Amino acid sequence: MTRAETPVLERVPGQKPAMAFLRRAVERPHHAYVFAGPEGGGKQLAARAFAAALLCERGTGCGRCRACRLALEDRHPNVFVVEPEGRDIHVDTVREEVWHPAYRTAPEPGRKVFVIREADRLNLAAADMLLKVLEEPPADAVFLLLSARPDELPETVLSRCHIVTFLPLAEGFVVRTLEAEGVEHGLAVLAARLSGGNLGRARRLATAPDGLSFRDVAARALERAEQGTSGALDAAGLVLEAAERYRKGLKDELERDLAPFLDERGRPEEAYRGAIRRLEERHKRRVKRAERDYVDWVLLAVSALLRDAVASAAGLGREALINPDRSPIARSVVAAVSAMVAVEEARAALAEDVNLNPRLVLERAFLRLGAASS
Amino acid sequence: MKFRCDRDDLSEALQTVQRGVSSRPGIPALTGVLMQVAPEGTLTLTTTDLEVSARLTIGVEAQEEGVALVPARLLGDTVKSLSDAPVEFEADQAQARIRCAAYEGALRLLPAEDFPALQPPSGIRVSVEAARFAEGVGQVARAASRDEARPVLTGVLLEVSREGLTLVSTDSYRLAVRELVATAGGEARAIVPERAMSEAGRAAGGMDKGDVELFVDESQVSFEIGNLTLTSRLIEGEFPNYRQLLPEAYESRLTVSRQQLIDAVHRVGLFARDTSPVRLEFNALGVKLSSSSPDLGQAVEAVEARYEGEDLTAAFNPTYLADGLAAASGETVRLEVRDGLKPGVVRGESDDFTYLVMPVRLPTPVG
Repeated sequence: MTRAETPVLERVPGQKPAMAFLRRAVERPHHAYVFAGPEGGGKQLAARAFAAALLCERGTGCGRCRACRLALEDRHPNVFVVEPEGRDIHVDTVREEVWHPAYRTAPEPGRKVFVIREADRLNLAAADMLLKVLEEPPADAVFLLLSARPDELPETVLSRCHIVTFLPLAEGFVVRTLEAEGVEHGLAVLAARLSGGNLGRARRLATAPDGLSFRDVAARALERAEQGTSGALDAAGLVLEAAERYRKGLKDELERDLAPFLDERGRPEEAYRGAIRRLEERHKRRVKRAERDYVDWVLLAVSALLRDAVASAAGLGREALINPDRSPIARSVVAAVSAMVAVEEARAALAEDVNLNPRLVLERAFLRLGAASS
Repeated sequence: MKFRCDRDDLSEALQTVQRGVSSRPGIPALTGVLMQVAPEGTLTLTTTDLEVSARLTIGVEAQEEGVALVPARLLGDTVKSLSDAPVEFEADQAQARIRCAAYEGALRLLPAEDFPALQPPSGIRVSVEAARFAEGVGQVARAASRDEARPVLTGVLLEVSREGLTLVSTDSYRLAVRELVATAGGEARAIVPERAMSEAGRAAGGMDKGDVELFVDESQVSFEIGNLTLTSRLIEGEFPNYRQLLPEAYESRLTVSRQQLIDAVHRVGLFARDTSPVRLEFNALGVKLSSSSPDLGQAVEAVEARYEGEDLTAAFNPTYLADGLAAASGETVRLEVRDGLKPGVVRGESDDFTYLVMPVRLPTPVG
């Protein structure tokens, strides 16, 4: 069977239980679902497929009819997609894109499907407005809330939705997928292991030219941190410089992505203006988060190096390492573990509070890390 | 596709189908106008914003049938600015070529298959005289709510029965009801977004004579107005039972020059604010209007009129009252009141229009 003939709900790989649940739900759908699971696990793919199945002219999600095709590309008139603009999903967006069309009859005969991406970013007022729609749902509407942090959704919203859980993708599955895309086995294993079940991230690690550079930064920083107080401060500086380089590179890359849609004067062409605005918003968000994302990857890589030191001290072989391509550093179990604690605390602090100064957090972590090893 | 036509015909048609259709960001296909040429010599233009769609057919000299989705604003601006000469239009898969006198332009097309599939008019058919329909829409549209919190109130209720067509709107402070003579093929009810209703009313107002045909089904309403078809999605939900609000009889009634009362309400109403409405004191001489604001000052004006009933005082929001007086037709207007707590009723010279306005409760005098 070729891909075009596969029913849409069979096309989302690596999420068997969730997709089996959705296949059963198509015939008599509940009015609201939360697709809960980590980034890169296929929630968006599943949402498009489910929307296609709900709107399919044959009622099955055949994948061939016009409705299926348009829904799979987010272009069906009855599919309304909402995502954060800036940090949050604002109440105006919910009013215009959800509330308003929800109480109108559907643009084309059939159901209306509302997809809310990163639903945990609904601000308070926006969540309230969504809640009102969920409390008095129009008979022909289905709401899909996608979230990697479903516990941050208001309880009132959650309680009106069926929860569909998406698990992190299995390492074997990520490796096989990358290999099928032409990635060499060793690199595929490494990328899969470092990405923790996030296929998109694993793909970037394996295919971007300097996708794995943050590991080298981590190794260098770890080395510097052991050279006394000034070494620890240098280590923090090193990480931040690399983060800034990454942020700049990302910015240039996104600008290149947009270029084909702009006219000679750098303005979006009329017909694409709406689509471009969304793309730009998404880019801005990514660039804004770039520094923090990068710092987190480096810290995670430091943790992984320390963890490999523990594994090696415990006498485990290469295949048990997160970084099977590197020789583990020599460290006592006690020292490595207390260093890991310092790193993980820094990661948690940065994830928790967006207002923290990353330099101070990093310096503190590396000072504690240096102290742990001496 | 290929055709030749008069510049004014095409320009006017493009403007008509673009009016009332907002371009929704995010879906490029909606910024286009779908052009279809049929061999019998017609060009059909269609636009939609997914809520309202407009379709218009004009006669052209068809040379080759076909379909093209053309960026609407650019095409409209181009055609409008052409010199007064026949326009030749030709489109292939990727672009449309326009020639007119010495001008030649090529517009890049949008993918036509992305254009939403629109449903043809269907359901219960209603015929109503265009001029009356336009007047009726004008009378009720103002009373529709602008507050999205109650979606049903942002629309105009269409009630179709064998006796005719009733248009109703309310924002819960006032209620406007207009009965229209119509021939209908059955019974139907639909809540039409106010914007679409007003657009249909305006288009009907531009017709010299003839009827507007309405087609009402579960999910949409279509208005056939001359060669233009406007189709709108409906608002889902239950419209309030307005009939129980309409009083069966009145106790006191003021009959007054419509223009005089409107002017007085405007003048006196300038001092009125949210908390301080316009007071109307009804007595044998007519009505005395007054309003005051602690910060601004006060105004009083007496309007002579015929009043039947006991002396009483009621207070209204001047804008809501003036809207009702303006919507009523004829030289004189009837204002029916019961006491300061029941809604006032505005009626024109004919009985087919009723406008209810809620009073503002006045503070009870102390002592």
